[in-house]
Amino acid sequence: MPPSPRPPLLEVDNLSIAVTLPGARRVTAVEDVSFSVDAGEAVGLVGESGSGKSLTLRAILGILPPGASVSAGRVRFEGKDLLAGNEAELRNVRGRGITMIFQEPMTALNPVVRVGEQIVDAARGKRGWSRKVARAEALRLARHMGIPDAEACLSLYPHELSGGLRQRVMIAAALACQPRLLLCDEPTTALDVTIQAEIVALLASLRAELGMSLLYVTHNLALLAQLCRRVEVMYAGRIVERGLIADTFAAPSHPYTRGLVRATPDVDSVVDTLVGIPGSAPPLGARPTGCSFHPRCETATNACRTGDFPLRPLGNGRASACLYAERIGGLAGAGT
Amino acid sequence: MMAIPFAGGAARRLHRRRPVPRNLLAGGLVLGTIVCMALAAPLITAYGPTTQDLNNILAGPSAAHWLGTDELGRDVWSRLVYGARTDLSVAFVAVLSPFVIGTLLGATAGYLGGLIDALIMRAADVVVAFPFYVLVILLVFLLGPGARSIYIAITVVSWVSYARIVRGGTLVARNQEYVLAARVAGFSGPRILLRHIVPNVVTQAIVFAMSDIVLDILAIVTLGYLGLGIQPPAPDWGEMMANGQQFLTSHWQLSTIPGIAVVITGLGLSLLGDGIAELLGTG
Repeated sequence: MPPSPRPPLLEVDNLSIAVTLPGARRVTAVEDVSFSVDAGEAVGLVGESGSGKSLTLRAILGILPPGASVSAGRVRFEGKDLLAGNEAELRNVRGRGITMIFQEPMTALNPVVRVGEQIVDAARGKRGWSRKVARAEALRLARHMGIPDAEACLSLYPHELSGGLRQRVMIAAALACQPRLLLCDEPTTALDVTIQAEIVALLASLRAELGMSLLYVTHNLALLAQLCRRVEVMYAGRIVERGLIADTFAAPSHPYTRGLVRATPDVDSVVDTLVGIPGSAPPLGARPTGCSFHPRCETATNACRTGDFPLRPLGNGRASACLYAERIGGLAGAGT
Repeated sequence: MMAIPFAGGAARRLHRRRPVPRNLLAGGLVLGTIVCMALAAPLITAYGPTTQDLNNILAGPSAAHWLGTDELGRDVWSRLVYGARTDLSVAFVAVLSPFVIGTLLGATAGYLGGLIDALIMRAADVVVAFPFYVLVILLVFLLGPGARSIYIAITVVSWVSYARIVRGGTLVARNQEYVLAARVAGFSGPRILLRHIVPNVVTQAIVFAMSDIVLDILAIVTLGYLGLGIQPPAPDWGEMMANGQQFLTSHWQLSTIPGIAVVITGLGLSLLGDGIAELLGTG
């Protein structure tokens, strides 16, 4: 990657996260993950469930679930080390610096507080506004978010809203803090496809408008292509491929990415069967040696079963952890 | 063939409009009557609760004195009704402070965990190591009789149950996404606790408070019976029972009537508590 003139907004260096499994066994769930997000940039993080995407996001904000902890590495935001700071310092970064929207709009809003109040709270807490100003801002945000009849809607409780509306409220509450970086943990997974598209379009336009950076976790490639410029592909707790989205999806240089791209149904072509990746992601604590994807990989050789497979730069901002990255890239480009 | 109802809206509406539980109705009726009588005490009694008539002691029920008079010629009906006033109001106040203190301590313990959690919950263990009445009677004895001592003693003993209930709820709530969302918005611990956690876990504590009042009333009456509670001549059911005891063989009604009042009140509160638990879907 060419050196950028400014340091990146967010830098994750060699981050490892250990979790405790039942039986008090400690295993590494996220291993040696490094990536960065520049100011105003949108980066996607894709991978199957259990690949460590959400843990990585949570580690950035210091809200790992009980039993999980950062075992190595650094997270720097605007040059400041977030993992070394205490809770009070972290609180200053949360909100105005980085904030996060969650996967489940059903559970991510407080069930006993009116949704308007929740946006007002976020606006007041971080910007020190009077209640009146914050209320006006909440209404403005809600309208901006495409919430119909915003004024009436804001006086309702979360259970009275549809999933799409709730997700809009959540985004409004996150934006009320005016973060410089917004972490999105599969915010549209629980929604209908049409609503998904609306929310993604909304996020894209808001990002452009506010100059906010985005780190977007999902397993939906098509959605990512609309929103992000770069992508990091995670498998079994490691980043296995990175690059510009257009290049990466057109010519994946890791068999896992290739599998993901193939498994994405294409509306334009008529196919009878969906192509999957054989096997399933290895459970925590039972990850294979060598390249952790080798048991499911059709290109794997004996050389893949042992050793270490770090991310190798391939030029043009791309990198892959596959031993045969060049070959895979060439093959996929030719349309296997 | 029966029409299959639509799953979503209709079912939810039915769910929300479930019938009022029968025990809530019964309990409300019993307790409502007692509370109304206590409130309207001057209107439904002809004599003051402490007015003595030494020419007419230990009289049986009559048109003038519905339930007779006691050993000082005081009207038993008046004392019973005014006693409800004293005992109910002391019980309601006595349930408040352990409710508040226990809820706050339990939520703090559950949210922070670690050393603070250990300290609070070990303190709770120490309190429950003693039988309820032993500790309450000991404390009131040390502090001296009276309503203030009752409040303090009951608070010291019964905050534990609230703390344990609320701590359990908090342990679940603190990993809910809405709490995480509040944390990533940069809110402070106390703010998250009071605004986002406590309102979501306090329901169970409220339900418990309803059954806790029963226990408190019994404690107050017991203390009164032992001469440690509300001090005479103020009317109190426990003190009435204790005084009537010496005439048990000749005038059994003097002890029995306040006893029945305690049982009915306790029953009403229990039914009410169960009904509320049923209504709120906890318990």
